[in-house]
Amino acid sequence: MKHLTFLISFFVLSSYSFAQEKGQVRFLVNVDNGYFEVVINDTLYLKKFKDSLPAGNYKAEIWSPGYVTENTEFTIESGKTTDVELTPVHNNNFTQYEYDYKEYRNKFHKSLTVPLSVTIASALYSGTVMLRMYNFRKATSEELTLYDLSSSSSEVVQIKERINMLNDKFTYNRSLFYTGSLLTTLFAGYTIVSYLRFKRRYKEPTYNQDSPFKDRFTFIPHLTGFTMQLKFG
Amino acid sequence: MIRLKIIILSVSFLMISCVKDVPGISDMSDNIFDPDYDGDKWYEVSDVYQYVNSVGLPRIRINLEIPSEFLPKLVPNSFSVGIRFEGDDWINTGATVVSDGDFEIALDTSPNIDGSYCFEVGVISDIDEGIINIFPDCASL
Repeated sequence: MKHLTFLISFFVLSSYSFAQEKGQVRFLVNVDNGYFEVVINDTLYLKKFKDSLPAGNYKAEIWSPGYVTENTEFTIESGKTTDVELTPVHNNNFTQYEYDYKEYRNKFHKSLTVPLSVTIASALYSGTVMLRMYNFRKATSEELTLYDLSSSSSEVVQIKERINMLNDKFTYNRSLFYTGSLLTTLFAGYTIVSYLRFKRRYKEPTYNQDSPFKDRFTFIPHLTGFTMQLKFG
Repeated sequence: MIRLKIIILSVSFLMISCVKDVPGISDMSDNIFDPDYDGDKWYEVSDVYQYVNSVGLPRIRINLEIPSEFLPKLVPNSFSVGIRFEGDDWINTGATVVSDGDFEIALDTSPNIDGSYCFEVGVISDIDEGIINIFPDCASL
C-alpha cells in the first residue's frame, strides 16, 4: 500500500483562512439519520454541512451511515453560496440489516415482550384479586367480632347476612386468585422458556457504521494546532 | 439467591394466610341471640327449693344460671327470657347479671305432688318478640 502523508500544521482550525477569493458551499443531504461526511478533492474531510472554499471546481464524496457513497461535483464562485443537494440511497447491506433487524425485533416481541406483558398483566390481576380477597377476609373477621358481641337478635341476623355476603365474595375472589396465580405461573414459565429459546436461536443483527473515510485521514492534535495525515492507496 | 428465597417464602406465606378460610365462620351459630343458634343448652339449674311467700303460701323457687361463656361479650345487665312450665302459657321474665358475669333467672311455681317441675326456657327475640333457642329441662326438690 502506498502511503502519501501530508504534514500540515495549522495555527487556526480552518485550513482555508488565507486571503483568497472564496465562496461558501452548503451540503443539503437528505438522509434520515441526519449525519454525513464529505471528502472534497480527496483531501478535505468535512463533518459539517457548510464550509468556505476558494473559488473553483471541486469533486466531493458524500457518505452517510447506511447509504451508498455518492460522488458529485460542484463549482464555488467567489462571494456566493453553492448548494449541493443530494438524496443518497440506502445500500443493500443496510437494507438487509433493516429487514433482519425488524425480523429480529418481531421475534423478540413474540418471544419475550408479549408473553412477559401477559405474565405481568396476569400477576397484576392476581395481586389485585388478592388485595380484594384480603379486604373481604378482613371485613368478614370484623363482622364476626360484631357477631360475638351482639345481644340483639335483629342485629345478629343483619350481621350474619353481611358475613355471608362478604364470605361469598371472599370465596369467589379466592377462586379467581387461584386461577390467576396458576395462569401467572404458567405464563411466567412460558416466558422463560420462550426467551431462552429465542436467545439460543437468534442473534441480534449488527451493521458496520464505520466511515469509509476513517482510514484515510488521521488528525493528530498538538499544542499549536493539529497535524492531518492523508493516506492514499 | 438467599434474598430471592426469602421473598418467595414471604410471598407464599402471605398468599397462604390470605387464602385460608375465615376462622370463626363455621362457629357462627354460638350466639344465644341468634335465631339459628345450634349450641348446647345455654342455662343450667343451679338451685331448687321451697319457700313460703309473703301471704303464707308455699312456693317452689328454681334458680337458673346462664354461664358467661354462653353469652355475647357485650350484653346488658339484664335481658328478657320466656319461660313456660308444663301445661302453662309462656311468661316473660328477666335474666340479670350476677357478680361473676354469669346471669341468673329465678322461676317461681306452685308445688306439686311428685316434686318434679318441667319447664322450657327461651330467649326473647327483638325481631318479632318471638321466643328462640328454647331448651326444656326438669328440676326436682
